[in-house]
Amino acid sequence: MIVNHLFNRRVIFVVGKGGTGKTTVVAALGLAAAKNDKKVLVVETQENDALGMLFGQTPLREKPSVLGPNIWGVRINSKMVLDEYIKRYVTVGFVAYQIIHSRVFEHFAVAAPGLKEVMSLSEIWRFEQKRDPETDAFLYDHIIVDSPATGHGLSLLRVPSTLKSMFQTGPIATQTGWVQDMLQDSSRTCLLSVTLPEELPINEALEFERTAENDLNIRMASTIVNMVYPKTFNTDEVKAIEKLDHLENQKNNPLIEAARRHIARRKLQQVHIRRLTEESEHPVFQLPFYDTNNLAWEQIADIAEQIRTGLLKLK
Amino acid sequence: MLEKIFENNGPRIIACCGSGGVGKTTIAASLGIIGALKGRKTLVLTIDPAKRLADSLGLDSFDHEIRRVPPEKFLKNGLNPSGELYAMMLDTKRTFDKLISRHASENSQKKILGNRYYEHLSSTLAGSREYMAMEKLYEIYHDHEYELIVLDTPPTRRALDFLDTPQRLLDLLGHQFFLKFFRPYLYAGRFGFRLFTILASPMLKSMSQLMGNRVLEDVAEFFNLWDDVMFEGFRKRAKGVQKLLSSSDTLFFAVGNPMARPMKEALYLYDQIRKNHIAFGGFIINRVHPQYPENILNNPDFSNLTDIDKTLSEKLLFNLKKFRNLGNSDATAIEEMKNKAGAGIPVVQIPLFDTDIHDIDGLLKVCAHLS
Ligand SMILES: Nc1ncnc2c1ncn2[C@@H]1O[C@H](COP(=O)(O)OP(=O)(O)OP(=O)(O)O)[C@@H](O)[C@H]1O
Ligand SMILES: [Mg+2]
Repeated sequence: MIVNHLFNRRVIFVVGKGGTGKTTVVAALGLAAAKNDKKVLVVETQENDALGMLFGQTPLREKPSVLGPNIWGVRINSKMVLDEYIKRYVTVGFVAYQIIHSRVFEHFAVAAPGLKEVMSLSEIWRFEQKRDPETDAFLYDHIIVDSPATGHGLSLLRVPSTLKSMFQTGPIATQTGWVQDMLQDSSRTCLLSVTLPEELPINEALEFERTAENDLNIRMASTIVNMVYPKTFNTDEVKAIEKLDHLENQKNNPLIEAARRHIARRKLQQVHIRRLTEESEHPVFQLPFYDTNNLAWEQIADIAEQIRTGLLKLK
Repeated sequence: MLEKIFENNGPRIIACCGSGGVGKTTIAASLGIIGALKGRKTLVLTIDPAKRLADSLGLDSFDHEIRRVPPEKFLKNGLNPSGELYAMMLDTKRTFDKLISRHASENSQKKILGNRYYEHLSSTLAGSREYMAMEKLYEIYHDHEYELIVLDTPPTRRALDFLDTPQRLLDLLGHQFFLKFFRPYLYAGRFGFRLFTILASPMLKSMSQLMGNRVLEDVAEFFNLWDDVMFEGFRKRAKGVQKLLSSSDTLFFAVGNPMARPMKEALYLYDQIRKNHIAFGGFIINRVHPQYPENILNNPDFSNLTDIDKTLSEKLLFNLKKFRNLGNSDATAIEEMKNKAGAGIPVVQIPLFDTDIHDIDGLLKVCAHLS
């Protein structure tokens, strides 16, 4: 086994702004790793359950269940995790019941920022720790998390450090510490950020990388630029098309017009991607744009194969 | 199509909302230009514009002042607007503090701003940044400086979060029972509040074992600082903002693009807007691929393309097919949206241009499709 592949970390958080393709990447990366004989758990952290939709299991269960060969899926319900947590730590059953069902606690759980998030992260931590009772090997080789797209895509990962300063003592503080250790250990956890080949999204991806690595101490593995116009025409062909485009009798030829559109957009996208590649410390991986507004399963399988033969081979 | 919203009895506030990344800022800036060209003194309130666009509007990304867009920028394009265009970048980060300063007495101000729980609350309460943008809007509106204000709203998951943020905040702060619950166990010490008879309540005792004392104390102190005067002031203001947004002076537009998610979000937005009795101006669908005639691939015109080889002609055909598919699926998505929205709701389409839009030239191209 080669030890230093980019994605040898066991916990992978897929992060990025809304609509960049996080859920698509989680599914495709999951399929790719599973095909490489890894046991994979894909994790949905939101209520909209887009991930379950892709795998045809809506909603995803709240306990890991099989989605395909080598691949399991789970949806984290943070309120449920919190309740279970309380039952585990408040030994007097009656009091635990009282807490869970009290209005004060209900509002406290809403009002205490980050309590829910840290519960979700704890659940991920538990999946990471889980071992097969017979072989004692880790149950999952990879846990791939579809992180929520809040305004600031890293807010989930920021929670442990803020929460630690609020809750100084008690089991929640301890648990937060374990989560924090997992996140900041670059041999266990990495981020995969997904962005688009445009000015603002590229700025944001660079900002993400800086914040993750400098402020949060969480290692970024790679940035995926999704929806990139593929290189349809080679350099000579581009020249030939540009020449034709200047001919008066070709002005309205849709063949040439569509080619010009493609070339212009691709050029623009590559300018933005080049900037990302120059400024990022990590490999940049491109995924093509498919000519549809909603991907079908075969296209996701296609992305999975590109990830398997490209991204997963990166060192 | 949107001509009449710029007439004299038109709205004084135009708000663009929708999911992130669809081009709200560009649309808002373009609407602002139209306003100025129609002779109105117009202010565009924007959030996070791309650097080059900000530059071309004369905005500096580090201050949050109202700036006039220099008239020369228009003259260069042979235009001489009879109105004036101003722009400002909203600062949605630290305004929560200002809100506290407005409503709290000097003494509690300091305490609140220093409270650890407040620090977390102000940075994480969903929609709070969005709400602060509304606050600023309210302030500027009541100064009566501008005849038209175009608002670029922050991207939110649930696009209208900012509408009920004040309510949620009030709900949270209004938890009198929270206080009633804590008060018997609180005493004011030299360093703030302490929960001292925790042992008296088995529930508090368990909660404090679980989370530690400190967080309970922080929370209790925070709620204790919100006295009735402050609460009332805050409530009144929030009501005012809500009233302004649902008055006939405000017109909302849902901005989206033809991708599945932004379309869904735009429709959801429309639904919310209707439910809240807010005036709706229509959908603006940005980045639409052009539609080609259905038979375009049947007789491709290679007649004058003599010196290209077979591979290239195949590629040209393949590429045209791709764009035709994109044009078709955009058209289908927009048709579907029109059906869902119902007749009479304007749906304006802005094409996907070959270049990024980062100057007045580019914005004018957008304007051409808006008016
Ligand atoms: N490479 C691609 N080419 C074309 N369409 C794509 C591509 N990748 C994703 N999409 C489409 O873009 C949309 C958004 O993708 P996805 O749901 O994966 O994004 P997300 O980041 O998870 O979004 P959200 O923030 O809503 O969770 C989907 O409709 C998907 O089918
Ligand atoms: Mg998603």
